[in-house]
Amino acid sequence: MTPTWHTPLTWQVDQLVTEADLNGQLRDNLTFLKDPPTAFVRLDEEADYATSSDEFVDVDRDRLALHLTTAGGDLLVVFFGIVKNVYSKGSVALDVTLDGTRIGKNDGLIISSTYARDWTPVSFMALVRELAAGSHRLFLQWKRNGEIGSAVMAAGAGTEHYDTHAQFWAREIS
Amino acid sequence: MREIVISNMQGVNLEALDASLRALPDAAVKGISLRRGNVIVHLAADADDKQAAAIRSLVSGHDPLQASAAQQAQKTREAQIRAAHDDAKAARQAAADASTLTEQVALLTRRIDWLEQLLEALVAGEKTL
Repeated sequence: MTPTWHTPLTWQVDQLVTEADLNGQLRDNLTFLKDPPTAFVRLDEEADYATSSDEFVDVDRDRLALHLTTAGGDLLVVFFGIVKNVYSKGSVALDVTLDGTRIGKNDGLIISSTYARDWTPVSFMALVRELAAGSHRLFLQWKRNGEIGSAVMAAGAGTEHYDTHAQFWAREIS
Repeated sequence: MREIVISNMQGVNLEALDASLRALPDAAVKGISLRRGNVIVHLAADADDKQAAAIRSLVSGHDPLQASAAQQAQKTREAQIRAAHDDAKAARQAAADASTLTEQVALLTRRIDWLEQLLEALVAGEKTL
């Protein structure tokens, strides 16, 4: 378990350094830096995901969900996987909600290639600046992009030649 | 947004079910998702219980083998393109043996007809190269 982050002290001449100071300032803070708050999901499902929604919806609120408690600062949010729209003029848009608000706004963080109806790789690294300390929840969201068709995401479900295991994770980085 | 979850659905024709749900009067369906054997119907937040009941009823009677109008139209178009392709192939062979210009133009027209249909399907997003 990641220890609590202690705001670094300014040391004074002749100051007595106590056991608590050393444990807090050195042991805990170094441990925190080595193992910062992180939440990680790697898909390994029985079936791929699909949606025909033309508004952003959770891909899977139970599995593609991150929960972490941060010390306050910047948060890096990462996703990679493969998706497709079964309609060749359509694409797939992805976003993430952080405590109920989409961080990508408008049409999301990223939109897949519209080329063909084949699987296409998508990945993003989103930086959330100056996130307040505390407990946070993130959910991966998506929608089909285009008037018709549906979006599909490979979920490590054994799809022949496309059995990839998408990853979705977040880590406090400052 | 409101969600209705229907568990343990097997063999869903997502496009056809989506089209049927969107055709319901005042259903306010935003789409459907497939997650781990469940069908999730996404509705406008103000959808009422009567609308929800109509949706549940339609989903429970879903036949995945029943094609949507768009899927049926696509199948028909694909059959037409296949037929035009076969015709164009025959025309290509016949063009070499044609003795008059008029005959050659008629055969080439059949080939152009196939290409035209193929191009229309590509533009419509029904086919890929």
